[in-house]
Amino acid sequence: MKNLKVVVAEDEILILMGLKSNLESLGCIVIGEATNGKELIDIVLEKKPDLIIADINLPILDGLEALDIINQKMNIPSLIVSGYDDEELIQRASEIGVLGYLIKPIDESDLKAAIEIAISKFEEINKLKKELEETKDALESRKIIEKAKGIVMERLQLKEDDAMKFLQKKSRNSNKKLVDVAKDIIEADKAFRLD
Amino acid sequence: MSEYILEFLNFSVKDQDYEVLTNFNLKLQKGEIISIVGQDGSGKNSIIYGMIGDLPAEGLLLHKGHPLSFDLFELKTNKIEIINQKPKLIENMSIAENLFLDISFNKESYFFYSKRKTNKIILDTFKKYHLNIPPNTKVKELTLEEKKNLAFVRAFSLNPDVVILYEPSENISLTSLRNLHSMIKRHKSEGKSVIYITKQWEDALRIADRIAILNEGEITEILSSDEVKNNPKKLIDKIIGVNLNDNSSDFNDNQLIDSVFEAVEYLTSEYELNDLLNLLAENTAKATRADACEISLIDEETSTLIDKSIYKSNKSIEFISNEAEILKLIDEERVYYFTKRDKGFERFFRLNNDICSLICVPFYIRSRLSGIIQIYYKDYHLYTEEEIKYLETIAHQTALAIHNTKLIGNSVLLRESHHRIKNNLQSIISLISLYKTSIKKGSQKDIIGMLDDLISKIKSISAVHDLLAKDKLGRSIINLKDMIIHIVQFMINTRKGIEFKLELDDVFVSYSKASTIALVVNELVTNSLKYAFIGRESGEIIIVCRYHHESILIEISDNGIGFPEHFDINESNGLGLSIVHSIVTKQLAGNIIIKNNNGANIIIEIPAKQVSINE
Repeated sequence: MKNLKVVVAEDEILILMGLKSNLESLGCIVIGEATNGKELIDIVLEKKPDLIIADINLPILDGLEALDIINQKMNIPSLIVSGYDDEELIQRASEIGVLGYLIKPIDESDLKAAIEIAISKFEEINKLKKELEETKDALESRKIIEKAKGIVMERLQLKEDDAMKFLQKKSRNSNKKLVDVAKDIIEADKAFRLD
Repeated sequence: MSEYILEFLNFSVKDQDYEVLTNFNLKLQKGEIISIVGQDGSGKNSIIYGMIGDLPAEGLLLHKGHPLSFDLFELKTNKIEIINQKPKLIENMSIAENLFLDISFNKESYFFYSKRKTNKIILDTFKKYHLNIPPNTKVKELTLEEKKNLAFVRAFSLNPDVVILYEPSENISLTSLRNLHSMIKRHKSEGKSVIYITKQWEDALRIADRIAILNEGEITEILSSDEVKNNPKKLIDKIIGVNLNDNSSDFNDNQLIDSVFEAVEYLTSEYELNDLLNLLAENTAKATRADACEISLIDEETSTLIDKSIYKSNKSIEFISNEAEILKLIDEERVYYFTKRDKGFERFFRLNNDICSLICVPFYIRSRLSGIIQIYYKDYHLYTEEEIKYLETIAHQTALAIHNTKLIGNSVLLRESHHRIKNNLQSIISLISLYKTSIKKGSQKDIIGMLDDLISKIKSISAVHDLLAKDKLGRSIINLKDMIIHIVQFMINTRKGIEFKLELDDVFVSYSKASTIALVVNELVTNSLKYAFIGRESGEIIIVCRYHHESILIEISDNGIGFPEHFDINESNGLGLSIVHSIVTKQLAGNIIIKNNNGANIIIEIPAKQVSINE
């Protein structure tokens, strides 16, 4: 939690000052303070913090609306602070992707726990996202290679094994990735097809 | 002794051999008001002419069972007073003389009274009957209305057994008519009787116990007024002499029932109260075929108009009702009905170019007047019993709707206050956190002082809550004046010898602003009490709060030692002042000026229209 850069949004200055003091005592650096939803968006987009803590009841744009807009533009973990545990609001918050829902009154220890959970959840999610991306890529490459293999089998009248070997050999010789070789073949095939 | 004070038995009157009144039978009880209602030419005036002997009459006229001859003087001696359309007065004599002629009727000692004494008696009489004319005025100088009033007073002041009035409401103003009606009621309360002969059936309905309907020289029916109050159409039909079996009412009934169903549907749906009332007004107007309908909401506590919904069937209908007058009307009755023929009808309007009839039905929530439904017609509308039942149903529905909305309002309020409590607790934790940090930083801080500070701030937040709880209407608006007085009250005891001078105007702000301003005032006053009078016995703190141009101005000053030289609030490391500064500039979008002026002088200016940037 050391040196975690945080932006806090709360319309009551006294509460804002209190939260700031709590966060600093936890070792965080408060790099921005917003008193309404619009200001929150502006500050976050400019300063790109590590964490957002926002009150749900903000003027102009409420906390959830502001976080929704932010989440569509960048990926920053966020906590929401609210006066009541309204089912509907919690539902909305989780749909937007908020990582924690704190119910007032909160103190340093509540903040500490919530921030730790939020950050670890966020890291976990990011890890999962990365893995998902990689898997997706691999799957996509497989599809392309399969298609190229099919073209080779048809054109050169080769069996499946030999077609694969042909592609691998071409990849080695041209010092290209197998998937790129496959793409070239598909392109070439398109160009030579008369129909 | 007969139980009747006056009886007409087979009383008939002839005019030029033509029978204008036939078989007239009427028995008047003690303390009863009977109204004889008939159209022009129904034979109303022949009753009087026959009684006083101006027209030949037959039959019996009994006073307490004793027959009377048809003669004015005989009637008068038997305590029966008749007031004709045009009163009989002696034009060349003064009011006093005219009046005294009768008051002294049975007092033979009249001639021994001094003029001063008679005048006194007359003035007393006038006072009793609310008549305001100098007694020495000659009768011929009076207006017709004054003459009629004089005739009424003369008759009633004699305290006769029976007063017979013929078309009394003609040519007189509403005030006089009301005065007359109260004379009649008083007369009745004294156990005396009145016969009120008129073609104004509305008057009859208002004043009489029984209504005798005279039609072509015969009494066709005697109805109790209770019987017709809810269905005047019946009365009118009888007066006109038709007995319609209204077939069209079936259609109307269906429409009314449909309309009630529709209204129930509105009530169970999720309309806002205002929309709901508009719908009800429109619905009611349509169902009763009224030209306009108005639903007025009345504050139960103060009986003043809160809000109204109005529907006009046609935009060109011009009228503006005068709710204040309509409100005055509401008494015990279920229904109030007026037409342009009524005296003083126009008082119910601030502007009226089109309306001829008005029906009002009040409605109650827990037996307290909560509103009135008014329907308006451009023509002389006669309501039916069904219509009244319908209006009463709608009135109940409306009462329910309002009650519902209030309950919903309460639950919103509950949620809101829950939120406030949570926020206040958070504020207190924030304060404690800030003090904690401040203690960590500088160890020389006075912990007892800080805790006192904290307690005082919690009290100032609670002061706002107290005020909020006291608002009966559940509004979240705070008068800063009350709030500051509250705060000063609990701070005044913290240090002796300090006097507070408050110059406070009524300044209203929303709850959230009030609680932050409470903290600011608390902090600044705490500062003064703590630092301004060190080493002094006494001192003075002045708090000013008022509107100044478009702003709210709060000024707190003392005659203490003032701020140190080159004091800058931005560089101040005092926690309290930095909180004040942040709140004023960031949350309230205002300005704060701190200077020395024979002591500390702090001026805070907050935009009034937009008391926070965030609203």
